[in-house]
Amino acid sequence: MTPIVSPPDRRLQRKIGGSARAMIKPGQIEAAEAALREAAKGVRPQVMDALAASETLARQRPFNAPRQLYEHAHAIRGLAGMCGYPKLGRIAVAMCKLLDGVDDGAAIDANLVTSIAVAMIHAAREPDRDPAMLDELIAACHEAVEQAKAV
Amino acid sequence: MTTAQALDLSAAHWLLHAGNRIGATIILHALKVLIVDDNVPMRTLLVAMLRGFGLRDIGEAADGEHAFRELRTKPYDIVITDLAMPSSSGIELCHALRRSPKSPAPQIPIILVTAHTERDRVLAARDAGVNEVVTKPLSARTLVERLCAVIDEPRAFVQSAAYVGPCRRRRADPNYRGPKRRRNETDFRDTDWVVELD
Repeated sequence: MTPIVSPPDRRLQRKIGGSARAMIKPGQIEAAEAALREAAKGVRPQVMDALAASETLARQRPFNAPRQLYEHAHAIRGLAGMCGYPKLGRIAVAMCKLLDGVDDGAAIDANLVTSIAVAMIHAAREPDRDPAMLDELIAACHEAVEQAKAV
Repeated sequence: MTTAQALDLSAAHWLLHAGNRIGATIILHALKVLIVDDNVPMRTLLVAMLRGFGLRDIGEAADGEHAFRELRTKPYDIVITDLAMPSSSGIELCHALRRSPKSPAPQIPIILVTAHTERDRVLAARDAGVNEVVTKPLSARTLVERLCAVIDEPRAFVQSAAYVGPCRRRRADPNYRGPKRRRNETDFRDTDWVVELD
């Protein structure tokens, strides 16, 4: 099949009447960020629900629901930063890395799973209490996950 | 067409474009955007940001299959899709839109939103034919930059056996001596949910 290359389609520019970038007014991005912050207030309870569900799953013994916990951690990872919990998001990244591709029933360090879940709770409940300590905790979570994955 | 009709059209055109330029928050109001994400809170946040930029016609779908069906019923301008969704992923949607004979909009700009920043996943998205990738957590600034990119800097559209989508070379290089990847053959088959569509 001979490749067909069509020229760039400027239909959207014509539709809005010119360059989108040139039309953005100062303050408009800030207004959209404010709209995001306002909407995020309504989403925070759902992040907290996902967090509570994650903790419950992570404390189960035997731990046998990595897929379900991954789904919660993945949702938290995506939402946390937009809801004002950037450090929670960073710990959720560690949980996702640990559980990515792990099937239900596969062997996994359940205590590490619980530790990361507890760190997530800590980052959500007291994000500003001791920022340096929280940064260390985040680093420790990621390091532990790297080690666990290397085994 | 009568002169009066022509003047009406001309006035309507001027008003539309003047409105686009003058309004503080209505510049993008003419665009129809479809958001695809299984996570309802994430859709809520995306809708809030887009409304903040003046968009009014925003559709929502929970996965790739529903998005494909929605696109067959309504002419959207841009798709913003999550990467990882339980039933049909953003990549799957992108493949179906770009390559399926049943696709209602093979060239529609697709912005992929993902929390996965690993290089292989970003490359997979690019090779599936997405226009732009944006990583979570999102900000309004990042999102509008990507919207502006697909509006203001559209790329040539490539249809070959190996790839269908916006040209992956963002800059033309007249001295390019690398492999001619567009000539490589790859198999493409519709996913089951596309096959089942009328």
